Amino acid sequence: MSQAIPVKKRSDISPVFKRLSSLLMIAGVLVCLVGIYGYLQGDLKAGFLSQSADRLKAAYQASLSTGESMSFLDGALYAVMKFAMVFIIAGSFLILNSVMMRIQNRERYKDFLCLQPALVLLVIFVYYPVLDMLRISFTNWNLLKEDYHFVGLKNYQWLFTGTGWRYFSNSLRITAVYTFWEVFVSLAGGILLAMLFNRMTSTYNALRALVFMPKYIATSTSAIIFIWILNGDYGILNYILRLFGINGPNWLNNASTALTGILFLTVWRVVGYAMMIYLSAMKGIPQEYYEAAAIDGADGMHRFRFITMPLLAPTTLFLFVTTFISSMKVFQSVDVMTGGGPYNSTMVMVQWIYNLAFENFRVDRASVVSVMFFLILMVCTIVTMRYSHNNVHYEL
Amino acid sequence: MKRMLSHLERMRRSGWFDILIFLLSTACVMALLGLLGYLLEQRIIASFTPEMTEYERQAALGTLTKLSRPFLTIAAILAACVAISLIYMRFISPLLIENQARQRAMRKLRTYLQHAGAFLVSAIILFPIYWMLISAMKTSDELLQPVPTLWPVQIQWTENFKAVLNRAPFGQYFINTIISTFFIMVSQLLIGIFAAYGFSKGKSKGKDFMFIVVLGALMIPIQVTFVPIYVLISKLGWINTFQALIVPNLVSAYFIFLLRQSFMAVDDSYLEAGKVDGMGRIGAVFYVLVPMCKPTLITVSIITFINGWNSYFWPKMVTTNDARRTIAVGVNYLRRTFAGVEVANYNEIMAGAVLAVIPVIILFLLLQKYIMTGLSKAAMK
Repeated sequence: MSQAIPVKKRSDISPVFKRLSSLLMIAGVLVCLVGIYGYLQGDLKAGFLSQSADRLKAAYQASLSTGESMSFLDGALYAVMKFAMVFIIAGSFLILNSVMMRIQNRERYKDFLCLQPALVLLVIFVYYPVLDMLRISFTNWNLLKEDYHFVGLKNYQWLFTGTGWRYFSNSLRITAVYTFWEVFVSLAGGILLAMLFNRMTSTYNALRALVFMPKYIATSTSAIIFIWILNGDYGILNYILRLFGINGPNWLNNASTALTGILFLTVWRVVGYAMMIYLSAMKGIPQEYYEAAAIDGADGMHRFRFITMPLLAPTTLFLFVTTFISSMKVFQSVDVMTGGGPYNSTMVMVQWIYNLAFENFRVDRASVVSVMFFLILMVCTIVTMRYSHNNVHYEL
Repeated sequence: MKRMLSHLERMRRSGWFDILIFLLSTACVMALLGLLGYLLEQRIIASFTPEMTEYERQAALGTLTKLSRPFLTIAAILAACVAISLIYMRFISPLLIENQARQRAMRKLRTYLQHAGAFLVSAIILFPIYWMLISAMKTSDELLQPVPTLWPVQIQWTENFKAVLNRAPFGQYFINTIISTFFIMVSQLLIGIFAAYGFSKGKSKGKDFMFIVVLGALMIPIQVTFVPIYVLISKLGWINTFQALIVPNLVSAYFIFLLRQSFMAVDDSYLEAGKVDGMGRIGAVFYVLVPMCKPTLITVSIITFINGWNSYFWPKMVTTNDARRTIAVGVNYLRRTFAGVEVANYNEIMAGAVLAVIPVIILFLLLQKYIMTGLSKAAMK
């Protein structure tokens, strides 16, 4: 079948295509050069360009205050200065296209065109920010000021030897505690609930759906519900505790209980999800195993212990990895319920970065912390992935 | 003594014994750590001076002391569970082994217990949603009674909703959310489908390397990179616009990854048959691949829609006023505008929460079949 389709050789590339490719190459190089010029002018403030950069900035400020637009050339130059990186990325993609046209025939090039939009967007909104984050971390940029310059390792110094270290270690500790509890509860609670709900009738189907539902209710909105439930004076939880003679604390306004309050919400959200994952894995276990065990005289508990539990190991690992990584990134519930709250007792990593950037306006410090957090996340991801690939494999 | 040993031997054979011993040892370690933390705490508290602020006191207490209570609690719970199981294994299971009728009765009891447990857990999980609905229908006076009422005495069907609609532009929130979510969903679908086609069926050179770019993007969350993206968006002057809500979410690496997997499962011969019939690339994607992978596509688009509806992190950053706020963010600002008289108006805040949550609950209940199938696929990969 495949022989019926003629395969073009490299020499078959049409001359029109070749010409187009050369054109794209020239355009790409030009756009790249424009971008590099803008970068030198705007960001590095290279000596021979700083005057024009200052002039452009002044012109922009003047245009803002008077309401008149800048002259076309000035406007274009200012845009180049501002979006230098976007120009460089666009130019690189033009060059990439030109190369792609040359090294393969037209059909294959069209395949490349299919995946190009995704690639461009990923580079602009995922990879470029990582580099930009690194760059900002070496500056002294404050969101309130237009001007900034490079200060070397000063921010890193602040983080590791200065006042930053106390906050950093505090955030790391709180994130670790939160992660531990979320992982523990979702794995233990998930498997317990899976045992409880493992019955295939329509009533149980409906109940399962209800237990699973909180996962799809917005965290930020359910956080509001929990703020009301955990309210110190009028909350229903403290009322129920009072019935048992316990005087409940003012959960979210108390440094020692705020994280527990947030964990209530987390538990409510995640156990259903873990349960569903465990249940679908249980369904995947072949019935023959159980039948064989029944012939050998194993009762229900035995079968669960010696068949279900070992075969759930890969699922447990999957859940562990995904929950671990997602709980390190917790933000929404913390932001709504405490905002990092009483005496920094719930200042998880992302919340701290957010506060640094949008409440203190210290983008540079936020970037340094982001870089560190990114490294930690990377290491965790790679280690867990490695481990999960090497150590658990059951033939199913 | 001998009987005791024989019982021990029997229990050991059941397989649960080793797990119980493991749990017991964990409980012991935790109890020790907890006790250590407790002692440390006593010593540190003794060294407090009256002029220390709350923050300094908190800082003086180390990690171990802060964790001592939870550790002790877990140890107690674990020990109790182990004790109950051991008693069960020692005294009840021998009785069961002897007698068929007893076994049957036990099985029946277990079934009833399971039913009771399942209903209880579901009720607990459902309770916050019920409480939100009920609180939204109470009057402010009733809300603040020392004994909360499970059903409103004086039911307010519409008053709180009307009040909250007057207070915040919920219509605008809904429009913003629907428009941004719709565009995000459509673009993720289109770009994702084409990219997945390119990665699974395309023959472009270097596509394996480019796929590594997608895999790498999976590992870089927005929680890390949001500062530079925000800077880029604000340089573009897009704060408080639809572009700011939509453009950074135009593509989802996870979506591409999932779709590529399901496209890989489609046999090449279908595509070649299409080619022989004169079908182009776009035809092949929309008439062959998309219909064959419909379940995955439906599931993923539902989840994308719900996630878009619920998203809070990014919309909160790029909206500074009501004009482009989405519903999840808007409800939270509702709480802030009440700040001074927060407690008194919780019925109205809950009414706002009801408005925000109900569409998602309805959507979930209607489409849960698709969501569940997608979930089992995610777990089996």
